[in-house]
Formats: sequence, structure tokens, C-alpha cells
Amino acid sequence: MGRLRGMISCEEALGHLWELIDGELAPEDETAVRRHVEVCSRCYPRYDFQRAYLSLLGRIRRGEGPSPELRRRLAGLIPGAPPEGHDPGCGSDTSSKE
Amino acid sequence: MSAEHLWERVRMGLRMLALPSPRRVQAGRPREIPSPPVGDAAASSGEGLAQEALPWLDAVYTYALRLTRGDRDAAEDLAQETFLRAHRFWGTYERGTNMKAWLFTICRNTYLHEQGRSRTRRETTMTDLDTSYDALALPPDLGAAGTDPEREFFAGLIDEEVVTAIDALPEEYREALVLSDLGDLTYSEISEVLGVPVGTVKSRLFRARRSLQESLLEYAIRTGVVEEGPR
Repeated sequence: MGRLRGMISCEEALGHLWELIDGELAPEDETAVRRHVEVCSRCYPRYDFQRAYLSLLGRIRRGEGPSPELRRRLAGLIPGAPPEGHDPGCGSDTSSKE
Repeated sequence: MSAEHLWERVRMGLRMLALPSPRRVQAGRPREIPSPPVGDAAASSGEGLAQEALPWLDAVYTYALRLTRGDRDAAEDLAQETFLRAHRFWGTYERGTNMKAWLFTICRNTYLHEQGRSRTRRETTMTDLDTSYDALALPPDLGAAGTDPEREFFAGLIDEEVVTAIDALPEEYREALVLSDLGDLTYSEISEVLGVPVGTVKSRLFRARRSLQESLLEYAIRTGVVEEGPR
């Protein structure tokens, strides 16, 4: 349920910044925070900073992966496992939270 | 001990009891790989696991890698053990529930069991978690870091330094951050994996992000990526 009403302050917006970026706010709250952040010269850079931070973490996630040997071992252990070299699909999801 | 901590320990104990006696996960190679169960049931179990769980191998491995603080051999052993346990306990998985959170829970429990850790020890490193989220959510002040400080700041960081900074976080913070920002789990899913309330997840995650960003900022200033501004 939404708790934020009408025009909110910078303090309120910044207090919910990470929940906004994480997609964890109730729809009414998300609208209120986003409406503030998108047009606020003080809050927008911080919003942009946190989004850039998550992009950085996404870059790191994409740079790490199990060895082909582990895939091969598991494929040998679990019937129906895709052969080595198969695109792992959703497990390698690189979408950011926003 | 608070009621919340007591329940945390009880839940952890119940989880441990639900898992079989752990086989030793050894760092290094070669690894002894146990054979999966045989027969129709096993084949059926394997196919379901292959279809539903194996697609999360990359995510589980990334989580395992951070749990083991970058030890790739130990992370591969931990990931392998996670899937072997998932295979063994496939019958306990409720179809339609959250597969990713289930696998991450197995991975974490396996890691904790292998480490022989106790919640009591972990509690001693906890700081007060009642602080307002609002204060925690404020990013570090970049000061006069440049005309486009955000891009300049992150572009100048080396991945290894970021990983080192993550690995240096206190464990309670690190696991919340890794589950969220590398594992892409929701607050509710993290709550399920860690066995703590969503409010605690938020508190740990926000502290972790702030701490990590401050470490990265210090690194960036030290190496001249950004100039130090008024704090």
C-alpha cells in the first residue's frame, strides 16, 4: 500500500531511492518518488549514480562464470542436462533491476 | 538473546537437519564425483532438475564465488554440491515456487555447514540494525569530483578492485549485497534465503551498498580517478 502522498521532499525521495531502483516500492509510492527524482536537480544525480552502480555490478556478474568443466561434470551427472556449450539462458540473465 | 535471533537459530537448525550429512567439499582438483541415483525416479528427477534448476548454474556459481571470497575451485565445488543436493532432494521442491531462491538457500546452507559456522558467532559482528533506512540510503558524497562524477567514478574502477571491496565486507552485509546486486533476488527472496525479516534484509543491503560505495570512493580518490571534494 502506498504511503507517500502528493509532492514529496528530497529527504523522502532519497530515503526510498534504493527501493525505487530495486523495483520494491508499491505502485503509488513508486510514482511519487519517480515523479520527484526525475525532475529534481539535487536527487537526480544520486539516482543516476545508483543506477550506474548497479550497472557496474552487472558488468562484474557478466565477467564471472563457471568453467566448461563444471558444466560438463553436471551434464554428466544429471540426465536431461543440455550438452556443454549450450546457452544457459535465464541463469545468465544480465538484466539490471531497473 | 532476542526472540528474533532465537528464531533465526531455530530456523537455521531446522534447515541443517533437512539436509543430509555433508560430504566434504574440498578445494582443488581432482574431485570425487558421486553417482546420482539410478532408475526411473532418478531419471525423472534429473530431467526436472535439468530443465528447471540448471539454467541457474551461472547465478549459483556467482553467488558461490562471492561466498568463498573469490576462490574459484571452492566455488565450483560448492556449486556442484548445491546441484547434487538439489538432485537428491528434488522430491522436496514444490513445483511453481521460487527455484532460484531454493537453490541459493541450498548453496548458502551447504557453505555454512562446511564452514562449521554458528549463528552465535555471526551475531557478534552485527551492529545495530534499527537505524533508519533513510539515512542508509544516501549515497556517499562525491564532492567536487568532476563535471560528470558518476560516469567518471565508475568508469575508472577496475573490476578486481570492486570484487576485492565486496569480499572485504562483513559477511552479513556481503551476502545481502551479493544476493541482491549480483544474484538479482528481490528483498522477499533474500529474506527467504537468509531466514530473516525483509526489514533486516533492507537494513543489511543498504548498509552494504553504502559501505561498498565508500570503499570504492576511497579507492578512486587514492588512485586519482576522482579528486577529493569537501566531505
